[in-house]
Amino acid sequence: MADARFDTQKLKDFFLNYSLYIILGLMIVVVIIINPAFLSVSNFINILRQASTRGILALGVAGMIVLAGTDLSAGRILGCSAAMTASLVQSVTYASRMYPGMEKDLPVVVPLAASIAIAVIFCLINGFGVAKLHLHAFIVSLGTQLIAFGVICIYIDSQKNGAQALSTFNGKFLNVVNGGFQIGSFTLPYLIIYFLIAAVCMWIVWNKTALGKNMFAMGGNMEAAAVSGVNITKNIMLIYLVAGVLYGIAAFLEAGRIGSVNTGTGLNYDLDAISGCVIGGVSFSGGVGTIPGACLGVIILQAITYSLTFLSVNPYLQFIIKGLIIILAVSIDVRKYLAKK
Amino acid sequence: MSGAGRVGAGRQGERGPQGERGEAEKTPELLDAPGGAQGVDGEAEQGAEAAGGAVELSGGAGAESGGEAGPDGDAAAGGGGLKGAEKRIVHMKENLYDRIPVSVGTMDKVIVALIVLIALFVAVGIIRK
Repeated sequence: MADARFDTQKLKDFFLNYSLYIILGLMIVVVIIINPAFLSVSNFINILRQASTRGILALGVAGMIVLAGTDLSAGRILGCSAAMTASLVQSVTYASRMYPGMEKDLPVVVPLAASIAIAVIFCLINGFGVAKLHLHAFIVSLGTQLIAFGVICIYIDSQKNGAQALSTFNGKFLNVVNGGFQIGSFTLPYLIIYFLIAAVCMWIVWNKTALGKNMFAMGGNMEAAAVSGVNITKNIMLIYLVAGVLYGIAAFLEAGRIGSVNTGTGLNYDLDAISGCVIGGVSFSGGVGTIPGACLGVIILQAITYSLTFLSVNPYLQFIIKGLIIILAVSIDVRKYLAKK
Repeated sequence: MSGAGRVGAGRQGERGPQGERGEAEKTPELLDAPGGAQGVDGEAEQGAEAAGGAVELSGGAGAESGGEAGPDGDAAAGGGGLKGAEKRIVHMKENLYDRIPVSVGTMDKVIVALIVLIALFVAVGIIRK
């Protein structure tokens, strides 16, 4: 009798913890039933490719959500860094390139470093606002979002030929981003490998370093962490710094993936990253979350978007469905929190 | 987190004398804590437990704040912890989800409604391509 009750409780807990995965998994199953062609390796690889840059972005955003904050500027910071990357990797044979004086392709590491530097600067502004000025992350990042958008517009508009999209990249850069390992007739894109490497690195940071432990302590109870001797300011700044590095990498890769950067690049990427994290169980109440969860959340969200497009569902309806999924994710998160209380 | 609590506790306990001004009765959470009243009555050890119990509610930050002060035999030490507890309870109330005044049952209904809505929109989307 006791065993049966225990099993029921376990089953309840299982459904509570994995309900979102189950629901979204079912949605994908429905798509497969409607159109079995969806179930192909190429579609699967496409979903992972598309999820990779948003996934790397989400790895940075997840840290801030664990701190019971958020980052609304992630998408625009990505756009800003991507614009910098794009301007530095334009083919030297392209007449309308942003820097006509550049006669040789720069080593790939230069645009990568520039991209990371820009993202880190923006993230440190956010971090300073949160850690030192005690402003809410929502407001600080909202401000930085607008600043970053202004910077992209000015930068792209500063071209000799006016505000045209930055495109026509050199082959070396495109190969680094869009290339892949050939395994027989199958190509494993580098993007997926970069995403995997970033996830493993962040898993180590979150689980095997003092910074990761401090982050969870601060997210759980900031004051408790402070009285325990955790240097709040330093740790928050470090978390934002790490996020900046991730945004920079994501921007560098995204520029190559989409092949053309304009002022709209990065729009709503932050929301995708945040919703991916929430779907993956990174709690807005702070102090809760895992790297595999955040990655899986982003992939599932991408799979939903991809599958709806695959079924030719009206894009306006897709927005509604995605919005409802995000509300559902937060509702389940709240439900988990209430159950624990 | 429990380790964190232990470190914080000692310091808070030292500030015990201020506890006289703490009004446990005004904080419902504190009344639930075992021994809270005894702490106010002047039993140092019990008072310490009271403070510890109360802080436990706020996440254990200063769980031993009174606990450390208790052995000093200062009746008000528990009170010091209480003051800290009040502060932490206020802090705890800043949690985003604590502001959501719903029960588990209501939340379940909301979740089911959302699932139905999603299913509905997906169905409409598939039918009206």
